[in-house]
Amino acid sequence: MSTPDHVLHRLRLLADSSLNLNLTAGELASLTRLDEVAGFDSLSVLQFLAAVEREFGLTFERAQLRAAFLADLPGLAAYIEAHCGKAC
Amino acid sequence: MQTQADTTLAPPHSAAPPLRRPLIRVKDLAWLIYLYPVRWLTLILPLRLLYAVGDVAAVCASGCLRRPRQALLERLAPAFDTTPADPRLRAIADQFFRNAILRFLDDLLMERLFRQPRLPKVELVHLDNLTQALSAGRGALLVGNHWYAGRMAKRYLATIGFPILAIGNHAPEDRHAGWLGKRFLQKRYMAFLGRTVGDFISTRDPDCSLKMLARLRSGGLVRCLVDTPQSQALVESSFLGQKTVLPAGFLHVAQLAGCPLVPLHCLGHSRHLTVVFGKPLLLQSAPDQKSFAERNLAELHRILEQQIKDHPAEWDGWIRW
Repeated sequence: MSTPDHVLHRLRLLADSSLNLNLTAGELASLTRLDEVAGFDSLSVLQFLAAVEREFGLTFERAQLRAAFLADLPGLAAYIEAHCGKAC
Repeated sequence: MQTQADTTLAPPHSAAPPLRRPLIRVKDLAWLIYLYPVRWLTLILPLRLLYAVGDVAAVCASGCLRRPRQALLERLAPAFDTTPADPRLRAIADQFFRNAILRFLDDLLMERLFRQPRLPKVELVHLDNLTQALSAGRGALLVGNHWYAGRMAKRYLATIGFPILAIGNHAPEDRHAGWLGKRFLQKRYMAFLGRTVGDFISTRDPDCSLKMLARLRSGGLVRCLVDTPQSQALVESSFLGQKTVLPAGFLHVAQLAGCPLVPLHCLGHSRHLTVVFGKPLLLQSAPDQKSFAERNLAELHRILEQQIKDHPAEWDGWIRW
């Protein structure tokens, strides 16, 4: 069963790969907000969104389609955990 | 026709040094007169009189605006593979400035016109292309150029059940504005246009692409004007005889939404408006961003360029003035 920490780790890996961040393991472990990452713009948020939806097999609702929500990785992990549960 | 998008991903806009602006320029005065006395007059004078004044002003404008006219002729020449002295271009220039003045008048009259069923003649050509695109329930992304009649068409389509979310720049750089214009009047003008057009988001909004996606996912319509470089993703392309950069970010939104692109062009003015919907274009996938843009933009640019060549006096994008 996935935990928020496990989901958070997967989100960090997704951010790293979909946004081509090339972070070290240490940088990755401390990554919590994508909007603090250089180059996080309206296009990269789309790339990240697409990667997250594909990875977790979900479609975000209208209320969640906000850059501030998607950039907050712990908050996003909690949302995914709550909505996917065992499925993710 | 030279719409070959060589689609090299272009570097983002470099931050230009701030312009040193004089306190006031001719454009500031034009904004001031347009937004206050002229706008007030259009609220009270009869429409028939306003249209008559507009028609006279439109004829005068094409003769009076010498510098913009020269700039226009020089811009038209490479697109039509001729010289600025070509009489055909002079006729286009005359009509271009007439259309510009009539568009300024239509913007002022918009609220008034849509309070009552006053648009006398509207033609919707191939509306079935739009309804077909929307039938899958994934929305549709209307792609077009800066047509003079674009705002009127957007407003009209909303009244018949096709509300459109428009994307644009709330504060475009304007080198013709003085300090007064840049500091105050441009904001007032953009606010006025925002009220006129309705349902509009800025490209500077950090949630811009997500709001577009939300609208498309709810089965709605989004309109992108793809003849100006307003995007985080730009491609270099040859368009109307000039090397330029054009946006590609909208393709990624459409891809994620799974919606088609519908080419749109709008002609005329409030007294005779024509809106033409092109055949829906389905996006083709590609292994990387560059080839994705390359594969999907070439055909789109060809269509949009041909629309402009067919109706050159209706396109607002030839010159900035």
